[in-house]
Amino acid sequence: MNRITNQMINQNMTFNLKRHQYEMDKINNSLATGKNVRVPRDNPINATNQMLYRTNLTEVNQFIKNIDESKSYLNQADSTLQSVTRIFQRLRVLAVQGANGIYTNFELKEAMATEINQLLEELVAVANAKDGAGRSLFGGYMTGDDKNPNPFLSIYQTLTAGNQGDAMTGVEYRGDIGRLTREVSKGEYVDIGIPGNQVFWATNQVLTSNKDATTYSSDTDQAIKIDGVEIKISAGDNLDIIIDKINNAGLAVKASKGGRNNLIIETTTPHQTWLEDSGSGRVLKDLGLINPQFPSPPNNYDPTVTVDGMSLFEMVIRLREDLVAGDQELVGGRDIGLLDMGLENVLKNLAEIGAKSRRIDELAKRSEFAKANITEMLSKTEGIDYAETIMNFKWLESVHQYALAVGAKSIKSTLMDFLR
Amino acid sequence: MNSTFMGLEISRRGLMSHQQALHVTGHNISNAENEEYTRQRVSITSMDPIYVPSLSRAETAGQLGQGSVVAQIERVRNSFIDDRIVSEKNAMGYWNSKNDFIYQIEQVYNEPSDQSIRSKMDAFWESWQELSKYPETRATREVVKEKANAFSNEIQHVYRQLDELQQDANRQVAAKVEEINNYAASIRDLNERIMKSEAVGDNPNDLRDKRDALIEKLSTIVNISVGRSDKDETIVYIGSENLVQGEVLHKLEAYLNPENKGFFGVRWAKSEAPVKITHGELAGLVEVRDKILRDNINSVNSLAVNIMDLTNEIHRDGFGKNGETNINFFKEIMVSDNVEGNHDLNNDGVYDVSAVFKVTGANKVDASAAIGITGTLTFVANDEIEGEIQISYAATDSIYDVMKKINDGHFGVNAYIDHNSHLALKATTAKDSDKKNFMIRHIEDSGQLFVGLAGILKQTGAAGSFDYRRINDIAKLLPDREHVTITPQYNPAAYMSVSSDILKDIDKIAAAQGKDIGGTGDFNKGNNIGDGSNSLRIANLRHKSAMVDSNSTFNDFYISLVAKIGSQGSESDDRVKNQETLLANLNNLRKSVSGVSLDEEMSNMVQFQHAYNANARMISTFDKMLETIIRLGA
Repeated sequence: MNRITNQMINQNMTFNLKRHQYEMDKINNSLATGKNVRVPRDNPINATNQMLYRTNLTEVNQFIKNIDESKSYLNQADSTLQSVTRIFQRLRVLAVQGANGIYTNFELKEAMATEINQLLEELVAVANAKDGAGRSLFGGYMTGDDKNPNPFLSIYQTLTAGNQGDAMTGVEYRGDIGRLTREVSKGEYVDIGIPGNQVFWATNQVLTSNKDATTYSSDTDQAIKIDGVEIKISAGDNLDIIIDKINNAGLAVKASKGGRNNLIIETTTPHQTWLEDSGSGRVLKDLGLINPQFPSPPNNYDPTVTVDGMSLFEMVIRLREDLVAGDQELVGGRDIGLLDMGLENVLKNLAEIGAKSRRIDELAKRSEFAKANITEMLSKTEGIDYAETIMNFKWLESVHQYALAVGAKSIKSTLMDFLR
Repeated sequence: MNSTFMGLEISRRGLMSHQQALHVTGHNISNAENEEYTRQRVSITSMDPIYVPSLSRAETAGQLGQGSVVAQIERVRNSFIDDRIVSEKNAMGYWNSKNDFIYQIEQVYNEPSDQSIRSKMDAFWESWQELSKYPETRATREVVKEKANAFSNEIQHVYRQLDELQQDANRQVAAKVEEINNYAASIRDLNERIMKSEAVGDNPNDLRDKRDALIEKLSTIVNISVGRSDKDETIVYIGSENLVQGEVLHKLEAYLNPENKGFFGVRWAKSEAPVKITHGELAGLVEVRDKILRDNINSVNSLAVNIMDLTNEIHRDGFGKNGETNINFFKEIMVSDNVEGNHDLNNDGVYDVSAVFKVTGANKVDASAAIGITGTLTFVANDEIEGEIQISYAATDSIYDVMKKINDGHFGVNAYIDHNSHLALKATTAKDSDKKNFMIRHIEDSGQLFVGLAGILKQTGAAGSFDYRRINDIAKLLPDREHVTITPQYNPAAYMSVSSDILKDIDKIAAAQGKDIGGTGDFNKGNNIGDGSNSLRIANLRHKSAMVDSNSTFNDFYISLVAKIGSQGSESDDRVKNQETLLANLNNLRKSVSGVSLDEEMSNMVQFQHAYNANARMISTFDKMLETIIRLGA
């Protein structure tokens, strides 16, 4: 191109100036927002990464919130159970005193029984403790509504023995075995709830059915649920097969056949067995374990079932009865033994809570670390290096100045200036 | 013997030709900043000298020159460069219009930022997590409702904006067709005038300039090529058809195409044959409207319909604070009022298809165990051809293996395991027509996998197959109506919202799971109010894959959507910049040949001025000489 016209010079100059201004505008925007990607087209890969990091960050933040809530919940359960152990220590002292034969009937019946009643009330109150949000700690999913505000319901009767008047004769569990599940990390769950019928249980429970099951055979495929775990029963299964399936289900119960071909279910760690028939099944009803009138747990055992084993409350009530009856051997022997067993169960659950607490602490550390990591990656991908950008801008600015200066000179003079 | 006034004549001719040269120079200078102008040059040649050899010639030395004359006024133009510019402007128009729209689509998504579908979706999942921890309080329920509202509104908003962009592109298509017709008509007029002018031997330079400018403008819009081989007829082709042929004009027409959602199609007005548009702004607009925006709108629809459906599925199985169950969280609107799922696809008043979006098998399955049976599944692809797809399964395959084969086929059906361990099949967007979005086309099993094992079909073989082209075919599906979802109404993203049940009473939000008392096949009794596990299940949808068209989570799907438009934007940005540089260079090349250089014209002007003065001087000299002779007689 040997021939250059004025228009060409003009247009070239404006074309180049436009280019500079476009670049300067971009840099201006990134300096003003502090971000290097304004729209996805500026850097699609960077934009993708930013979106991923942002989402991960919100996820991790949510997990940290969950962890904090779980920690505080477990702390509350922990301190509540500590009070239980303190109550027990006092009960033990009373039992030891009562076993000693030196106290008179009056002291035994009136004084001690009264104090034990008070301690019993205290125990029930502790079992019905609520957390900071007003929800029952030990009720499973039954955290308290209008019908059942508390998981443990005390039953009173007028007792003449020992002039006790209205005294507690039993405590019923109205909660369920819901394990409050929290997601504390991606795909990682922690159950922070411990149902009351597990913590506040003293001895192993033995449920003996009084129905002869020699000729029993399941008529269809159905299922039963023990402690929330479903066990499938196929058509034609007889008692032996059912017992086998229960034992192989990995539960804290053991099934066996009694002398009269009846089903016996025994727990291996102290808790109240949660029995139900799944869906339209009738297995446990037919085997005489569940009351067909009230098939839903809790308190759904058939009236003919022999229930052996007691909750903490029943145990304390038994201690009180024995004291009032003046039966020192029982108090000194069996009752103290039961107290120790109960205490041991409470301590075991306390240890479990402690272990969960430590695990959650570990998770908290891990999550905080992950959060710091992601935040760093995010700021690296989306932030700009101010020094570098400003330097680029300075360079661009000076190029622009030169272009303007030279361009101005080249568009100014034409031949006409020199013709007369 | 020479004539008395020959000298005067010669100089007069010189005067005239140089005056004309000055006129042309003036014309050039006057059009110095005219973009479309080609500089003109006079070619001054000498007139035919005398005397021609003949008997009657004068007896003097010959031949005597007779002065100058302007032979022609020529136009300095290189048509090769013109043709190059025409084709590059074509590409420029295409990429420009694409770039504009893609930029606007990127603005719609508003990423990366904290105010986008993604951030609202994250907040939505979080609200379910909070509810799972505190299901008894109204506060967390209120938050779930609010976040769901915000999320639904954002999706509706994005959908509306994409829809508006599509309508805008459509309007521009019609406008561009009008423009094409106008330019073509002007070219035709110019052709006529140029032809007439050339017929008498003139050079209609300015008219030619105008015509070339119009052709360039036309080439930005649509892919034209110019045939200049015939001097009498300049032809403008689109594809291989004539738009303008000399004085004959074939107009284009934008018509409402019922096959394409009533959008404008382009065809020849007379023959009604479709126009082959391959490049230019028109092609860019059509591609943006029919491909890019359609894909994006369908993707947003898929996102919406799957979140709505999966959330509702889990929500229906859960229980509210007062034990309510079987309530949808998101509003569901079906494509047809008919309970059997029959739908009138072609709007002729008669039902013609069974519209089923999803079917959940009736039996619980263990997805990782070997299935122990063999057979072949038959599906139909979701494009225009609707070819049969066969997937066979062996006894050693697990359901996961079969699901993978189905999902990897990308023929319109996705398989997944739902929260109750049932196998579910659901449809994706259609490749051929949006009306067939979210419709399962065909399910057939020669063995027992779908029949006995999963509980989807009632019978094996072709007799038991489900095909959407038959009405009332919903009867072939085994599960009850609760587990068969009818196709949602078109564009679920347009009406995604929280259901009115929930809006009126947030206690109905199903945070708790429950159990099936009495074997009804449906959960009918809720757990106590402290149970937030159903809420946790819904929150976990976030991590579930096989949500939409491929094996990706909701987040992955959305992020890849934005990444795709981002890279399309980056590409079109680069292309536009390249074309700009290319066109700038070509323009320079053209200006170098055809542009007006003021300096050149100035020096020419001085030259012609001198020549004019010299000729005028000659005239006055001859004038004095003649005066002498004439005064001889006085």
